[in-house]
Amino acid sequence: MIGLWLFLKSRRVVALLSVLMLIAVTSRALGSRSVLLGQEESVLFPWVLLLAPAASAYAVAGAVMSPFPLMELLAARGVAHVARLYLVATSTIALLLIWWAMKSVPPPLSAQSAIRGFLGLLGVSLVAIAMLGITVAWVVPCGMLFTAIVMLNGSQKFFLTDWIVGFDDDLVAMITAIILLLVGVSATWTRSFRLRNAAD
Amino acid sequence: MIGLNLELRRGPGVWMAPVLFLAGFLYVRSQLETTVLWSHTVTVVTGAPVLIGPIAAGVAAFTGARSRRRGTWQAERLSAGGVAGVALAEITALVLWAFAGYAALVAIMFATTAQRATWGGPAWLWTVTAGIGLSLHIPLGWGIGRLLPLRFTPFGVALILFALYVYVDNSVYQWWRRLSPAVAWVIGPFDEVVHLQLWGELSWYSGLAIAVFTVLAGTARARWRVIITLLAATTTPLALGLIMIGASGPSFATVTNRTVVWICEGESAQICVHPAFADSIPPLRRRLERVIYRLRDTPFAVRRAEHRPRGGPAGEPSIGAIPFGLSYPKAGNYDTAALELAVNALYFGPSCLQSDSEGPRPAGQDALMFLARWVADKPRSIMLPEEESDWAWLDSHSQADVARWMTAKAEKIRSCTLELSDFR
Repeated sequence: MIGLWLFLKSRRVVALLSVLMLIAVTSRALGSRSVLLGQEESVLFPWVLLLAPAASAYAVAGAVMSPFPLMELLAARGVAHVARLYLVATSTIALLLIWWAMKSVPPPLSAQSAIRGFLGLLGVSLVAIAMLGITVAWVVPCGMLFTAIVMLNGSQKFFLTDWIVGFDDDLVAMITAIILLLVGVSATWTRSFRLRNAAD
Repeated sequence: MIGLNLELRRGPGVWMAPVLFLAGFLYVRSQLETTVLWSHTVTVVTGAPVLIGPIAAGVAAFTGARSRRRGTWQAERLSAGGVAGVALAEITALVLWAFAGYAALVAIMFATTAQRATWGGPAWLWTVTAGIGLSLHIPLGWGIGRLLPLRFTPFGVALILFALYVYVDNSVYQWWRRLSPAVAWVIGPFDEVVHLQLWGELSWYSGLAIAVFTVLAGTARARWRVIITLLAATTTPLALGLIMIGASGPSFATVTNRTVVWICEGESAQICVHPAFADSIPPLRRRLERVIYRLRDTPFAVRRAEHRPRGGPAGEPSIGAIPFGLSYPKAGNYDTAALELAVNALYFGPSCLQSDSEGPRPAGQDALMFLARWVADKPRSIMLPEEESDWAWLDSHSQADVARWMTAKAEKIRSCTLELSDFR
């Protein structure tokens, strides 16, 4: 148990849960407040969808990084699989909180879109953090999210980012998000991810 | 100069500039409809900081937090230029790189437009003001990063700033929109940006940039003399900027048509457009002729359809002409132009166009809008069952029958008392 306790402490679990709660409560307070996007066919885009999935995904992806990667590699017991379990557990909590926060938001952009956005952006964040580190990797998910919103506002299609702003029933968007999540999870097995320091 | 040299060659600006250029290019790609109008190109390019500004601020926050996160900030005190020298080197290098990314975007878009444009010219002061607005993100982000040197600060800065700009972009009629360092304005070929407003913005941005150093000096317990000097240097341009923006009038741009000579086509019913839109006449004619055909032999017949700016005294058409708006050539805009012509031909008088804020909606507004949509053949994407049956009723009758019906209902249309039940 001491090992688990030390692991959770090293991953700042209390801070992460507080941040996820804060995001969820803020999102719940925002409710179905929306912003009008699009020139030809306007879409009421909920503020929650702009803020909650990206912030939660990056917080969860960042929290899994180790502040002592070299020491963990030398540990008698493998820490990497514990880190992956931690990722699954925190992702589940984040998903439940997003679902709770988005309950009052009506379709076509509701909790389903937010959950899909979270899963996809989590995958993107994990890959970006493995390559660039927490302090710089935000450029990738933020750049994708911002571009998706701008493209939606210009009523334009862009295959790299359309999945983030697709409607609830957009099957292609869901498949894309799941593929990105799988790519992101597989990045946790890479050397660059395991050697990356949380302070990078 | 050694610090600046090092930051320019090894700092995060080296990768930030291409990222900003790429993001800016994506923004331009999503918004640019044509390069035949300088006003449209400048509008789109100067709006790019809405997307690239938050990214620049995030990178600046990363840079500002860098020395504290790495535990090297104590060493800054040992540098020859002092703490302020290090900060200035980091900020200056990032500003130069951000401006370089923006300048590359401007150069490409302006070069493309210069080859194809048929109207107007580059608005240099506006373009530079938008670039300075982008540069302002650097000291702002850097200051936040220095005060909150956390791992997630750059991410938070970028996300919150972008959300703020989305909000500003949606607050079209708010005066404070003009204080934002990044705004996407929509300027047509009839419009002229008020220069006093741009000078005011430049002054406002300068004040905000100096304000960052004032806050930092305050938190670093600098000498009172330094803080008071910085406070004066902050408040003066801020106040001057606010005065100039206030004095520049209620709008970012003014409508002008002093030099416009219309290009007209047609005999019995003319279609007249701004000279920059000469190429738009064929697609526009297809849409407008439908309106002209459906309104002929009625009291609302169109003799001359005139392309006009929206709003203001210059929006008043020539005697006997019916105005329509068209910001830039695009299929969707032609459809909207046809609907505007139908609306104006049916004369939605002031009593019918009363907005929600001024009281309850006039009873006949919905029915009139429905009729205008039928005249322009532009139905709502989702129609009520009652509207669908009314649409079918209008379609099922000959043009002569509908013209007789509209003539009979002319008084109701003019007085904004038409109802959906009148369509039977």
